[in-house]
Amino acid sequence: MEMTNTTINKRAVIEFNDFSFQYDSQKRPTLHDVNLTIYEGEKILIIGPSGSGKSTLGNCLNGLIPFAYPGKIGGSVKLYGHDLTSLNIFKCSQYVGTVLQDADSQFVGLSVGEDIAFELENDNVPLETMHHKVREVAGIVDMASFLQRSPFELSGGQKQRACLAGAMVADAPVLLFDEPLANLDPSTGKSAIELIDTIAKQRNKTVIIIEHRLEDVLHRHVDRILLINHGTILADMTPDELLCSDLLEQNGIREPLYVAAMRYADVDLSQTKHLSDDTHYDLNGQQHLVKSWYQANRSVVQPIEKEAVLTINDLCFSYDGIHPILDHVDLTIHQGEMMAIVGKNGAGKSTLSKCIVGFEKIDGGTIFYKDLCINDWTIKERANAIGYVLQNPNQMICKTMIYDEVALGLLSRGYDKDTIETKVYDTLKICGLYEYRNWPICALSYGQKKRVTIASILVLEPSVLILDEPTAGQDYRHYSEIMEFLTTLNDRGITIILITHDMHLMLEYTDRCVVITDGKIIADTAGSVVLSDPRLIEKAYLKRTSLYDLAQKCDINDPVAFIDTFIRHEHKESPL
Amino acid sequence: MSKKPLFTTKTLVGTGLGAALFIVLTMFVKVPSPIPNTTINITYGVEAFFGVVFGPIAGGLIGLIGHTISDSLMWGTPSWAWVAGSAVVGIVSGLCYYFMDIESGKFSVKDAVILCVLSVLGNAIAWLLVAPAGDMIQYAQPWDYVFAQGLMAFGSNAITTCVLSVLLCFAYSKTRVKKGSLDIE
Amino acid sequence: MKIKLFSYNQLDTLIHQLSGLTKLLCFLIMIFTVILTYDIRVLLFMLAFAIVCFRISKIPFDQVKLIFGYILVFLLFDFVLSFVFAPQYGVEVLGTRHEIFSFGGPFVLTWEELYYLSCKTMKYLCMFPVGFVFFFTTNPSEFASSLNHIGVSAKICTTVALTMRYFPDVSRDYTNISLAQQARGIDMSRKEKLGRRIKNVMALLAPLIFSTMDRVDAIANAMSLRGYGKTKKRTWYSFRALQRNDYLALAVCIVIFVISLSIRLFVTKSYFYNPFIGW
Repeated sequence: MEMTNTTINKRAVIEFNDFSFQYDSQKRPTLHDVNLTIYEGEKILIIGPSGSGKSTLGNCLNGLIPFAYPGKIGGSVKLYGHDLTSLNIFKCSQYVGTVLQDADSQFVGLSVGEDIAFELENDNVPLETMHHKVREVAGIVDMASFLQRSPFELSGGQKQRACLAGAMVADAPVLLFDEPLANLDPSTGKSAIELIDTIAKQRNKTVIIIEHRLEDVLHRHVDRILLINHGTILADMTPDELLCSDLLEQNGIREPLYVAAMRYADVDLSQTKHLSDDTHYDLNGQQHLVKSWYQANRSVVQPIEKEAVLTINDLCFSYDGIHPILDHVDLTIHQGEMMAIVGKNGAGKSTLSKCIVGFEKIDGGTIFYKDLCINDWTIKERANAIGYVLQNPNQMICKTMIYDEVALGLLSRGYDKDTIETKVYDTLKICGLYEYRNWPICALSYGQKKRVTIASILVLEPSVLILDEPTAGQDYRHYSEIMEFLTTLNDRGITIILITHDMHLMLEYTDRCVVITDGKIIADTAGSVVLSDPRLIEKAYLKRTSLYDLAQKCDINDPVAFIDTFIRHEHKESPL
Repeated sequence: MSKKPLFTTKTLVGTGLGAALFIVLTMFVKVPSPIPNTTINITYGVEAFFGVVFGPIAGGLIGLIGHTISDSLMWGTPSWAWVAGSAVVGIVSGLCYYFMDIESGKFSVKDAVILCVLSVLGNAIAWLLVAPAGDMIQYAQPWDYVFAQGLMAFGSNAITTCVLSVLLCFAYSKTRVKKGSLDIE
Repeated sequence: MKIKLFSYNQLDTLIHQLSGLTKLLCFLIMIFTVILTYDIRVLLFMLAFAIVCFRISKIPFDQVKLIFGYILVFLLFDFVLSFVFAPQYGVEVLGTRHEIFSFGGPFVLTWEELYYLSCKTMKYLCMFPVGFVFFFTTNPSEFASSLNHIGVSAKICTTVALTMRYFPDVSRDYTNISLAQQARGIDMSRKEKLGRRIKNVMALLAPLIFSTMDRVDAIANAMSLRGYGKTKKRTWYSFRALQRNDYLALAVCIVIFVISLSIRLFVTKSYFYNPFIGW
């Protein structure tokens, strides 16, 4: 491990002094009293819940603030000794290269090569030098053989690699990553963190990562973590120190699962070594505490036989008639289940759900709802039984008022006014939106908007609800809110199917996990079993849970039971 | 007239995406009109809306690029006179940009009237003058014939442009936040 | 879903190998040649030339069969309607009159009208293969840089490139939104009354347009952060410098253009070539 105190002698690249910032559209400052120095070659992680100001801080580093988002600045920020306000956005980008959260927005070229070259094009670099440079950088991120590919032919991970190359191509000494893990499947996220680490070391970059998925970032060493909440820096310490403190829980950041498990087992965290290193941490003789906690809390759940609500037989589907996306899929979903469908990008998860709700026409097989064959049902007919909620609520919301939005589906089904009102109010009550019924939708938070879209589907009283990535991009508090809400719906007897990349979600909230790879179901079992099976993990691009490693370190012979015990315990402890 | 920027990077992106929307709507969205076997072209309402938000240059380019590409995709080659007409609709209705401030959430009934007047004007110049004249020059066609085609296009396009762009502007202005209005409780 | 714009296919034909700039210039020259002539001899030659180019570029006919069908229907329609609207227009522009058959009233079919309508149809017919060849063989990446090289401002070229980049994204969003709204019962077909149909159109447009607007800021920021707009000029990664074949192709097109224009200016001495003079 590197020594953080040696950085004192290094050159300061970024300095904040009593800095504050207030957007023009806000009543009060989003950032205040920020004092921070980042030194050359450091690797910094900035964490904080949504709305804490962490993205605003990032935007101050690359010049989007104040040049793209105007507002009032107090104090000062210096980039390599230059005052931020004396620069412009282009000069800032010579020091700081940024990789934004949404690879689709960042990837502006029509091919990988063109996109990597974008900054060089803007610098009027001659063609020959440009091609040479692009090939070199593409090699670093392992994309050299994809230069001709168009963005539609790339996976999420490859797109992100291209974006990273595009940010590196102009040789900015600082690289800033804004939520690099959002939208990536677990194994791709892991490789992304590894790649960032390698590049930082090989090319001597100063790296700043903004993320709320702490455990995933800590897969590789970081020098310091800045915890931000309520617009200011609450902690600036090494990962080990931060994990030992109570600050994470207080600020709605999820700590790594193995650390949470150790807390439950009353392990003295300050006595452990390298706590933040997910492979080399050492409990320092306290393994027995974890083991005895496990033995004391261990319980086994008996599966209950339930009626089938959806039965899929021999389902086949392809877009072009040549490459099967779904290849003879058989699946039975039971009444009242809460289940997850996982697998890497493009494995066929979303396609399967689209076939169920009728968005895609299947090539072969049958789908039964209870004991009715629904192959010939229209999209609208199926929607009465099976609701489908898109990932992005903004793609579903079409009215300005909440009441109208929820009533829309009923109106088109010809209900009378009174019935509609009763049904809408009932649904709004279930969704905790009744008090807001007369609000404009634009005044709601993302999580509330998500609820509105769920309500607008729920009002049709489907018995099955399919949700595509319900918690994507949400911090721990919003994630828990959405998931607890879905659990209450599930308790009312609604079958819930979640399509997700989020292994925590799958582990914590579902009783059953279906793994799809290359159009085939390769596993159908409990989440804890899936995440303990190395063969499955590799095939489906998943990531082993750190609880598994903890179980092994503590000599617990049944890691699956240990994971289950942890999850049940956590539900009991849950603050919500 | 206000000193609004003419063509920033944001305008450029808005134009690019607007043109992409133009193509998607032209190619995929078919709304049957009250006259049997004809469809309403809703594209111009969207083009005018983008004009209000991003300005006349953006509006004109959306028509120019969007129509050229969608024609090329559907027919293999653009009909230039009508492409020019689309550009004119965007430019004229885009003049609203100078009279309004929709980005700050303001869109009044008066603004709606101005938008309608400019939309009708734009459609009139486009389909009663530019497109027929272009077709006449390009293919040496009789004026009556090309004008009759233009008149039909004018009738349906002017109505849809007004109705849809006004509805979209009202809806959009409601999603914009006003300065200094956001606060966390 | 993989949607490729223009169904551009990477083949290795003589025409594919040409630089995008050459193809754009040739495309424009050909179009102007066709627009500026009403001479059946030139048009026949142009049609033959366009078909030859189409064959060289090895575009599978299957790919354009459907479009071609639509075009033929359109041309037939146009042929008949033009006659109905102005049956004597051919006589008017050519200045001679040779009757064939009278349908009664003003509807007298003349050789001149038939000739005029055939020329017009021919003009349309020339445009299509020229367009197909250009759009099917030009790499979309190269298109923007080519436009810039013929003098279109870099900003407009970037706009065109962005349109092509985000068209598949927007069209995927459209599909998703439209299906999700159909599930809620949004129907735009004739089954609904007109007023409701317009409301339903709005229910589809609002989420599509507003979620597209959400991306504008993100993309604009990403571009500024990578130095877009630093200077007025920019270079283009995908630009291909002109080779010997490019100059050759340009020369062929220019020669055709000049000959066609010379025929009009010095031989026919009018826009229309009239084969009926002296009948």
